[in-house]
Amino acid sequence: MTIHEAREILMLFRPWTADADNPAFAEALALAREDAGLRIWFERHCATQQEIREQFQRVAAPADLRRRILSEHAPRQKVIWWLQPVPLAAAAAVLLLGVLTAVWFNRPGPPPTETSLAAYRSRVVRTVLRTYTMDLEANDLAQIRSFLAAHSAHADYSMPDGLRHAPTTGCGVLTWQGKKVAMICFRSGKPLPPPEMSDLFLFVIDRDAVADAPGGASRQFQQVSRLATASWSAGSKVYVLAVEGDEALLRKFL
Amino acid sequence: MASGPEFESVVARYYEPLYQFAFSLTRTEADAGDLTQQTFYVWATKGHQLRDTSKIKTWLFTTLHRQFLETRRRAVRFPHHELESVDRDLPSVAPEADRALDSAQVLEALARVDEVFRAPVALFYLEDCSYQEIADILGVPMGTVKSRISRGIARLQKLLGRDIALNSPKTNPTP
Repeated sequence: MTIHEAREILMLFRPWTADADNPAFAEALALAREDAGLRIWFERHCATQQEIREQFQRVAAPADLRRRILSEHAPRQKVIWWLQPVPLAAAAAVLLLGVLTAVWFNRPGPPPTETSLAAYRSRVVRTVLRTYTMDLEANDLAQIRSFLAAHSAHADYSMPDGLRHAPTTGCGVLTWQGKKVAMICFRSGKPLPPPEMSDLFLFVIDRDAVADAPGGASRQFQQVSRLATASWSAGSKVYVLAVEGDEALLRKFL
Repeated sequence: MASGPEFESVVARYYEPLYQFAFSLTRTEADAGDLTQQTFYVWATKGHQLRDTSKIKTWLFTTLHRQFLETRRRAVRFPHHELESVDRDLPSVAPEADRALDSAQVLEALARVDEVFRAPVALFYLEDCSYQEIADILGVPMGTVKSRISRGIARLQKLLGRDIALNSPKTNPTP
């Protein structure tokens, strides 16, 4: 093995792992012990690698990221009701029954299906968070309805009263699980950095496309990443309204 | 697999390294946080399909990387810049070998490394993944991964002013 071959191998050496015991590095390490030039290069290389790694590891996740991840998952978790405080006498009386029931009810629940409201909501929110493009840019709702009608995409949607005052910016037609989703885009009124045009979105899909569609017009609120969402059903459709912000802001548009 | 307590322990163990990997790819807190959240969402919905629990780490990093690539492939919300033009826009990192590094400099330099080298280099430094795990995460052969890491490291060190020439004046020449 030449010095340069050894150097090529040692480029991949990670001092923070068990690479020193890895036979793939053994010959090159032996050469580095014998050759002064290679040894000095290797020592400096290891120091540099350690320094770079430390800087990579200093990137800290946002303080609330873990909470956000867990809160997004929370609505699907079971409430372990038998762990809630109960009067001691009652607990004693139903202990056996309670334990049996707990074992039954505390089994892992099924994961959300691909056609659940949570799955749908997550998908559409993440679409606008990262990857959406509007098919039509327009500030005229009639034009938007006409475009959606031409694409058979829920042109007969109904808007919450609060949304009527928000300026519209356009629309798009998405698909989810093979079903069309109408996306109507608005501005909430907050300043937006260019080139962003919208931060308020209404999504409309057929009610039968969502396995656990909301039962009626009452709103289900859920924060998904940076967007607050409200979901409800009306007629044959399921609506999700999403805004970059919190529930208080969202309620202004309902 | 993705029931409450298990889900929480997986989140506790991996959200930080996943975020670090996502941040090294996207360099924005919002996108990195969102990629991390999306990864755990996919875990919550599909993680039960993974039979071998020793593969959770690889599964999560693979999922995050795929999400990132999927985002890049589709129409983007923000203007797309070719790497070369981004390279010109980024402030240069003065190659000053004795200066202490900070995270921003390292990530800035990583952003200037060819895209194909970026993910393997980030995984090399961030997580104690074996080369086989890195190859699995990125879906490329191990030989390719080693080559990309080696070239990526050399480029990164050079951008940071940390490239060390063998037999350079600062090293003792081989007799």
